[in-house]
Amino acid sequence: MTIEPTDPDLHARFRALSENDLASVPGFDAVWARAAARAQRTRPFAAPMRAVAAATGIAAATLTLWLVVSPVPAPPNPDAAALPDWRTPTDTLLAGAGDPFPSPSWATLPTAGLGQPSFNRPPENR
Amino acid sequence: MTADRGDQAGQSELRRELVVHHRAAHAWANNCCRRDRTEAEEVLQVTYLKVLDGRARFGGRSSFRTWLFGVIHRTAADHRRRRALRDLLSLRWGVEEASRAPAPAADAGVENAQQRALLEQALAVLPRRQREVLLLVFYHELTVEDAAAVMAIGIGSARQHYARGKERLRKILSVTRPA
Repeated sequence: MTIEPTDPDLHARFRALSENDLASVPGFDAVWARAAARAQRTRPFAAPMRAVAAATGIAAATLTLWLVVSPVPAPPNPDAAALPDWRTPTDTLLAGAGDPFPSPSWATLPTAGLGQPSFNRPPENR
Repeated sequence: MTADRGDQAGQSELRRELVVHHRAAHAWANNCCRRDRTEAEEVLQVTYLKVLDGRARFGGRSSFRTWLFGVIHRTAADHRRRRALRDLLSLRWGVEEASRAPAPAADAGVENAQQRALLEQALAVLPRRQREVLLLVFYHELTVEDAAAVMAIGIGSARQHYARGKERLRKILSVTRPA
């Protein structure tokens, strides 16, 4: 036969536990004195620690923002190095500084099926 | 009642209230800290500092006792989280678990001491919220509504924890006798 405690039984058990605990509670003044001592111990460090934490937080946020916002430099394109040397087939159409008329040259146009296109050759080899 | 730094009258009134509720507050801190008295005193000290320097303000939405119990509850939870982190960092699980076991009772009334030890062991087995709501209702004699306010949970949830906790506690504390 199993007997479960009723509500009054539970109340009585908890009351006994409570009375036992309350018998050994330290006084308010003693606890308050220790709390005040704790505050004195921690107070000198509290403000500098808060300042350091704030500075660290701001620095971390700035760094994160900079990393997110700043553009990532593209890797160097090997073809890009050849661009300054490249000339368009029609570059001869562009007037030079002292030229009164443009002097078109068929030699700069690609020659289909007749070997390498000649538009990258220097003018003296055309 | 507020805790402004310059408000001397408010400070002394707060202090008077804390003195009135000190014993109950100490007992609740002890219960929040799984009956570790050293930890309970630390929690209570931090709570008093919070109240008197204005980090915790009494808004008058409940009784002072219910509000104070809520502050203790939150402070104990912070304390528990910090200690868990500290334990994790220093890997001191074994030592801490051993020290958390309830101290054996050492008083004259052996039967009473046994009853108390049984109740403490039964409470230690319960999930935290069930244990807390039962302690607030049976030990501290709060209503379930006030217990819900202290624990910062809904009344429905508190009632559920209360009913389940009580049922489970009854089963644990039941005794089997020959018919």
